[in-house]
Amino acid sequence: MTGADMDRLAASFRDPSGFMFHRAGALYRQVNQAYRADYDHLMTSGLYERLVEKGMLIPHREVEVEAPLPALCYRVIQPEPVAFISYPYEWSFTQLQDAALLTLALQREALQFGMTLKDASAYNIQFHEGRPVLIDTLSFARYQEGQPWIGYRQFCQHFLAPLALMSKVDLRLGRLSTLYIDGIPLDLTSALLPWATRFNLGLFSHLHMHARSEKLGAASEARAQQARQVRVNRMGLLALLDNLESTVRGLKPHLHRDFWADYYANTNYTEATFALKKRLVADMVREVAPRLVWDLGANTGLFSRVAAEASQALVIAADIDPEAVELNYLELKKAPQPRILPLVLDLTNPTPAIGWHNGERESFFQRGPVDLVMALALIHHLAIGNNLPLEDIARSFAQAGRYLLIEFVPKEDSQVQKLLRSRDDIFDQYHLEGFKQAFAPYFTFLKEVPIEGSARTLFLLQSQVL
Amino acid sequence: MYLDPGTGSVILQVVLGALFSIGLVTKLFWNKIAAVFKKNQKAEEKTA
Repeated sequence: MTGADMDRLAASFRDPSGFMFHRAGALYRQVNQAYRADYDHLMTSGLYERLVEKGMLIPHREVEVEAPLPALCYRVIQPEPVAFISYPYEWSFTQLQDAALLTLALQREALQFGMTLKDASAYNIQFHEGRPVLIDTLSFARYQEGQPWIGYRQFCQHFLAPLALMSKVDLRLGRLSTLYIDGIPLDLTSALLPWATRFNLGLFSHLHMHARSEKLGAASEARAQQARQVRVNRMGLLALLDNLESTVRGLKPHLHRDFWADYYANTNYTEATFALKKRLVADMVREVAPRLVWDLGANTGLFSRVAAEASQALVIAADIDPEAVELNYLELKKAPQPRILPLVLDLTNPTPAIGWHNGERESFFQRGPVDLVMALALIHHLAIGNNLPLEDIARSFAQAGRYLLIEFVPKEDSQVQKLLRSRDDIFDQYHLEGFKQAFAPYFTFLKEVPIEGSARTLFLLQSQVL
Repeated sequence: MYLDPGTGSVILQVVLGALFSIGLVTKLFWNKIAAVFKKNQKAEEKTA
């Protein structure tokens, strides 16, 4: 491996059209000679302008930067940076659905300009300024009349399969995609879906029948030969896209609550106390002036909104409950705040690094540290609900962000009482002084404010580790 | 192409493409008829 090659991003090796690389803190993409004709077509046909104008494709500019592999290089481009990379298994149902619909819309637009989307990887979509956008500029190839959609199977594995499983079995199955980097195998999907989904024309065709056809297809060389000569006319292709779209749109998440019911039920405060907590959080966020915030245990994102309004930061509103994340995203679609990105995250078992050499998709904590970590009404879930020693929590948070805005919830609090009702109280250290003792080795205490009208205390701490 | 489109997936596309084409043509045709009726209705409303 040459030194230049080492700049290449570990995730960027599948497509011979080019690759991403880091240089002096900025992110670039080398476009290879092999992709020259396709790249020129993308840029001159009007497709690029159209997609960028519609916010469907990340804009880029061509730059004079030394290419890592000059012998292969046609152009070096610099795409507009995406502030935080997230993965499909961290998205809620509607986030994944929106990404799926974007992928289909991209293919439809591409066909109008004589191109086709040559892959349909969910990892090529990112949430940028509140909306899904294609980040892989090299995803388009010139379309030849009669050519089938090469990305069809990938679309079904990356999008339709997890959406159907989330909608028809359980929302939590979104995380199944962590186990399969190229999407959920269709035979597995077909086996997991309820039998009745065979009565849904789209699910029957694209998942159940698709799974069967894969088995048949693999069986004979004659069939493989036949497949190479197959032609799908444009009408057929558009009809396929049309049906995929209505199938995707037809899937709904099963939700048991709504955003505003949650808003009022989760406060555990009187109205005045609640307003006070909001003001205190806003003041502390303002003091830090962060650019990137992790709101851990964000629920439906109430305080993520407070943090976003009190700063210029992008706020990652992470919660373990896919339904809370879904409600947050749906509310953001109604009342847009492009600087909030809701994600599903189990803090006791955070998103792992996956792919070849564990290097293709980063773990959650690899994507840090951030400027500010918020942990409001969270610590009792970790310390009592999950038996984590306070010192372990302190150490983890000190490595995750330069500042920590944390709420201590004592045993007297009704939420903690609820947790203690069903287990022995073996948590001798769990009190305000114990909390301070555990956090002192890792943090400088900047602020300590009791939340009047409750038994809780807000802290603003500065990490000594970072 | 760097992706394996999958033999079964490609053959399925031919079958589904043909099948759904019928549906799509019908849908577009139906929308056109509906549009004509809507236009007539609007025209009637205006004259009325």
